[in-house]
Amino acid sequence: MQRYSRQIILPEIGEKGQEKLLNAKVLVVGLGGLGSPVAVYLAGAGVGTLGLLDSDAVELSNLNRQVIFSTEDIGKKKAAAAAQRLKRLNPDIKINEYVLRLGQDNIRGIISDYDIVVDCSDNFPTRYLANDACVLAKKPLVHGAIYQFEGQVTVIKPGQGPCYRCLFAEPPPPGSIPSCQEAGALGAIAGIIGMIQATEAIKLILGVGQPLIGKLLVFNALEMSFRKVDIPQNKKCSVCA
Amino acid sequence: MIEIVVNGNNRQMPPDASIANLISQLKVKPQVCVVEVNGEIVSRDEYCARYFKHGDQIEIIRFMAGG
Repeated sequence: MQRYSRQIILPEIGEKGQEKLLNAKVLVVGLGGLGSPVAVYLAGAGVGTLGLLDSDAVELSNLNRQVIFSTEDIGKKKAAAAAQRLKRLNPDIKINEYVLRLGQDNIRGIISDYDIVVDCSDNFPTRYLANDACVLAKKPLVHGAIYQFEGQVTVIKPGQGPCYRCLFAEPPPPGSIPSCQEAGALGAIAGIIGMIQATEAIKLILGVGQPLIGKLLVFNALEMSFRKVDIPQNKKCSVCA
Repeated sequence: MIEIVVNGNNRQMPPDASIANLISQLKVKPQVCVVEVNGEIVSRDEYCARYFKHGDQIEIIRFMAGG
């Protein structure tokens, strides 16, 4: 417990809270700019079981923001390279590697083994799939996304608030939103949003504070502003209504 | 002119201004955002016919999927 002593001191955590963290199972979907800090901070905090899911291999152009990887990881599968790094950080936790893409065929089976899903993916199909599957399985989902100097975070807790589709009912037309590859991405922005996602996941595990349920936190780095926008529950939502 | 609040910032608009006018001024394409007026999401097909009142709180929320 010496490893966790600085957080056990916090009255909101204590030894009971640390037990909750050690017993928790969190799936990190996507090991890019968001998934990197999420996985590192959850492992450091002692989240007992971490699922690391990504089908890609590490590329040189990832390293400005995907801080879990090193130059020598180039070419390795992200899930394997991240698992190796996290085992060095915290050998006491269990890590499950998934070198695959989430799809209709596998998502239900995978998320059934976890208490919380953290969406760090980089595309709309995965985001809608994760939302729909988590709502149906009643799993909390911590959503985060970035675009250039901006970011968004919300927490979807099925039965207690709106879902992703309540706000964004349908995906935008294909090609209308440039990817990070096309639009660019600054590592620190992904770091800020990923760390907020990690914090929200830890709050959900501990049952402390007010998670961003029904709120979209909107971050703008150029203005250095954070704003919380209410997400109304759609009574006709195709997924959660 | 009327005053509305757009993403937390005050903005002057002509009294007959619609959501379509606002997002066009801001150079935001309607298919890449969601618009809330006073906490309610407005359907995209109403953007031309939805006019602002003084004091309306507008949120223009961009789609983003980067990770």
